Amino acid sequence: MRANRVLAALLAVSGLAIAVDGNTTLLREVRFALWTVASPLHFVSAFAESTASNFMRTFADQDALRRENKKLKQEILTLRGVLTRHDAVLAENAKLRDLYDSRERSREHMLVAELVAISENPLTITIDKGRLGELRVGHTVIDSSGLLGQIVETSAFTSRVLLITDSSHSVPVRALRNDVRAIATGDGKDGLVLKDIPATLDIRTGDHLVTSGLGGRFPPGYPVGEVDSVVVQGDAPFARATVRPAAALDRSRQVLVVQGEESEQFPLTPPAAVTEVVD
Amino acid sequence: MNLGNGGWLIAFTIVAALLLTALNLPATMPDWLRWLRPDWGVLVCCYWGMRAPGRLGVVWSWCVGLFFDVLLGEPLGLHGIGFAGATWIAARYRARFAMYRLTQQIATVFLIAAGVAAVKALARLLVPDTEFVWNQMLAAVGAVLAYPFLYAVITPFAARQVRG
Repeated sequence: MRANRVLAALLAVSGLAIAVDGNTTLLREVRFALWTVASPLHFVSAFAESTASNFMRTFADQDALRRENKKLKQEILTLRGVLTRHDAVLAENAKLRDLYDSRERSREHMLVAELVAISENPLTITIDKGRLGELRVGHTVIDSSGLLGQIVETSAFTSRVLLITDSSHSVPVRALRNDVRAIATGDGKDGLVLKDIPATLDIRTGDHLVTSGLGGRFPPGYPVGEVDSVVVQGDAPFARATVRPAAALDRSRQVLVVQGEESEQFPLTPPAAVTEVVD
Repeated sequence: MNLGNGGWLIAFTIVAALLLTALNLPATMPDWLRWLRPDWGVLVCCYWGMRAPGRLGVVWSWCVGLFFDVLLGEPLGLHGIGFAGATWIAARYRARFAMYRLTQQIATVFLIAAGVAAVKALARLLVPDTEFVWNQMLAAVGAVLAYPFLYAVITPFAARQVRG
């Protein structure tokens, strides 16, 4: 009888805990403590995985390694070329900012982290840096191609990143071609959607979307994805566009955490001041 | 939980279950195979609930569930419901299960794992923007495949070390 009562009490506590933890952040510090204790298991599992992968690699044939090496060298060359152009653009940007008499925007402070675990419900990845590495909830995470997601939970040694493709995740974006703004929401699988956009909105297949920076959660200018298709059903006033993410969500092992800007963010000019200058 | 009298073996199987849960599946693995991944915690709770119910009680099972919750990024208490329930059922009907052959035990584990998967899927609905995904029930099929393996690995040690 006692066991029955204990079980009933535990079920009630569980239901309450799920409702509280799933809807509020009240238990965030309890989760932090528990996850800090359990997080070494992520490192053990990542170590086992990399050992197995290295073991398999020793059996990979020399030709495959040579091909991979050649491909990586070519990739480095291409990236160096792009970087040269990037430097030129930065210099040009600095000059233009001088012309506008505005302060140069500071560079973002970034930290390299490595993936240690993947979870599918919700779509998250776990990285090997946590609160001890100055990572905080809300920090943006990118890979070499674009936006991956944002940190939603931390332990002392690890952090959990909600991917942009999770159905509970949304990010404000703008199209590079014409600066049209929209909200990209995860489809719960491997892509994003622009839901209920006006059918007359100038969004086309092939448009590149970047973070708009609106809302202040994500820094502006990071690639989010490319519009895959735009569907308008009949005479409906709204359309739906699917977006292929720019980041290699299922392949990135090393990621960058954008920890905010090194100096204060450039303050927005108040509209009154703009009107004054124009007058 | 007392680590004497083979308690260390129970603790070891729990850590092993946590580790198996934390392991990343290869990216090339097809989706249907991913859904078959068993809930190792439920299997361990079933095993010890049947074998030595006095050693891993419902309260300890529930506490173990908290670590599974944080490892998988699920709301606190979600795994606790399943683990405490599985341990209680296994312990409550222990005498009956003890007379079962392994195949009958496996069938019982399937029913418990299916029940736990259903309860977890329903409990997830307490979190906003969550849908009932039927594929989650496939974990019970995975449990049927994994339980004989777990039984064969632990039983030789459990027979020598653990006093119920």
